Parts: sequence; C-alpha cells; structure tokens
Amino acid sequence: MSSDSKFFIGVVAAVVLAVAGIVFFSKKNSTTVSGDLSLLTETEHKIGLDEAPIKIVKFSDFECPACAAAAAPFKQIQQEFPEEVQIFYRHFPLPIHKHAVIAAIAAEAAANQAKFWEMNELLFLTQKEWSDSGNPINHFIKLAEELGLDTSRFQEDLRSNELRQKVNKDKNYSGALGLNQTPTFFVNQEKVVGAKSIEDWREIVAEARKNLSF
Amino acid sequence: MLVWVVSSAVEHLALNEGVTGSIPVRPTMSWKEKVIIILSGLGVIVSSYLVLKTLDPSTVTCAIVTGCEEVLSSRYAKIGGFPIAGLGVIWYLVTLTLVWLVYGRRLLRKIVLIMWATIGLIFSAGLIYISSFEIGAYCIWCLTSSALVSLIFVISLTGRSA
Repeated sequence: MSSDSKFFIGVVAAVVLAVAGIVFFSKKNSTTVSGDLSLLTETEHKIGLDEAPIKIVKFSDFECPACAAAAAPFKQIQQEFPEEVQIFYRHFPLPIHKHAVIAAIAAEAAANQAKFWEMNELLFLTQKEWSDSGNPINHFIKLAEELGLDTSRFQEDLRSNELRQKVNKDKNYSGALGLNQTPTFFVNQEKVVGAKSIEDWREIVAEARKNLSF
Repeated sequence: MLVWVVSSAVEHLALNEGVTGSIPVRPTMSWKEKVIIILSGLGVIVSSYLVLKTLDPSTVTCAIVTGCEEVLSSRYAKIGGFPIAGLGVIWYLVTLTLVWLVYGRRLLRKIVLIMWATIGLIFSAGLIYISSFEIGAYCIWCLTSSALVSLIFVISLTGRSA
C-alpha cells in the first residue's frame, strides 16, 4: 500500500471515529443534569393521582412557540393514562422572551382563583396575539374575563410581589438544574428535551412503564 | 454514475498527462491535495454534527443560547424534511472522493475541483445570506463549514501543484 493510500485511509478512519464519537456524546450530553431532582414535583400545579407511578414535570415558558406546540400533547397523555400518569408544570421564563415572566404571573394569578390550567391553555392558544404586543396586560385581563375570574383581584395579583417570587423560585430551580431550553421535561427524573407529539409521549410512557416493571 | 464518469475521465486524462513509457505512473499526492483531504474530513465531521443537531427533536425548543439552535430549528434548516447539513456531508464526501480519484493529475484536479468547489462556495454563500437576512442569527458550526468550503475553493484555485 502506498503512503498516499495510507494517508487517505487514515483520514477516512479518523473521520469515521470522530463522527461515531459525536453521535455517542451527543446522546450522553442530552440527558446530563445537575441539581436536586427530588424537588421536581414540589409544585401545586399538577394533574392526576399522587399515586400515579409515572410523573412528568414540564419546565415551560408561555412565550416560547415550542412550548405552545408541546402543551396539548402533554395534557393529552395524562388523559390517556389517568391512573398511571401525573403531570406537573414548572415555570422557566427565558430571558430572551420579554413577556414570559408577566405571563407566568398571570397564570399564577389565575391559579389563585383555581384556574391555573385553564389560563395555561389560553395563554398558549393566544400566544401570538400577546407575545408581539407592547403591553400584554390587557390581553391577560381579557383572558381572565373569558375564564370568569374576578378581574379586579386578577389585576391586583398581576402586581403581586409574592407571585413574582413564586415564578422566580421556579426559574431559579430551572437554573440550578442547568436547564437552558424549553420545554424540558422530566419523566420520573429522566430528562427529555423538546416539544413532543402525542405519538412521542405514548412511546415515552411505554418506556417508563417498562423501566418500572424492572 | 457520477463516479463512473469521473473515473473514466480520470483514466483518460491520466494516460495523456502522466504517461511514462507504456506504463502510466501516478504521481504522488501533493501537499495541497492532502490539505484538501484533511479539510474535507473536517467538513464531514462538522456537517455530521449539524445533521445530528437538526434531526435532534430537542431542537424543537426555545433556548437561552441563541445562534445554532435558532438557525437549526428554523424552516430553512431542512428541505422537504432533509437536513441542509446533510447536503454538506454529501458535498464533503464527494470532495474526498474526487481528490482521491484525481490526485496527482494536476490539470484534471484543477478542473474538477474548481467546478465542484464553486458549487459549494455558491451554496455556502446562499446559506450565509439566509442566516444573516432571513433568520437573523449565526451558527458557529455553519460558519466553520463555510470557512472550510472557502479554503478548499482557494486551494483548488491556486497555481501549480506543490
């Protein structure tokens, strides 16, 4: 074999090895997480039985289009497996979204009137309408009206420092977990990143069931 | 088919370029050809990484770090479901193959590589344009790939084989 052939084969082999390494490490890194995972379900925003063996926690931002896409399948998977799946919502307003924090506070304000999940759904459904506006407050008040909330209480809660701190607590926890994108899910403490379709969720739940049976 | 056509052309030109007596002797690989092979290899690695990032469902996200995530989750990252970066992998693999087929044959190498590198350069420039004016974000790995294509183009253009 000539030295040129050896050189060529050497480069090709190095490339194959490097690509294999990238595939291996990209899979490994996507599940890397830091922080205390035992606090994942420490939120009152949940649907499903506390005894459900599969707990799915979603870290989400109301202004993120991928989170809007992820919202309906996330709720649907709980409805499909009501005995087995319990879902949780945690705030992770990204700094790149200027109205994300106030939208999260609006959801908390609705939660004060027991309508968190309803407001959650409306915020995502109407995301395009309020995310580009200079001041989304009026839109949030309209949503509160639509849900039959006490709007004066709702508006007062929007200014509440307590609710802002509640959102910040979730945000800080997201930071402690080393999260940097939304939506990020934890399925029984296993990190899953990115919007998922209902088909994806069925597979994920089937996998979680399999893991539980061992 | 393309490989067959190129191989035939190579053989034909080889006989007219590097014939010594009745046995054609293939010259050894020049440093330029070796550099192009290394750059193409790096290009395959970078483009493969970009393909993985494009196909990774986690790119259907909003991220704190803008740039690659923004570019690779944009509607321009795929054509009919096929990752644009995949075209990069194909381009670099073809470059590798072409250099292997034509190395040592200076004239043929120049013609084939200049044509092929021009295609790569135009495509690459188009992607940078889209990144700047349509997406409004830059991905460092996409820019790295563009730099590799530009280098391959420049080396292909340069004068006599060293």
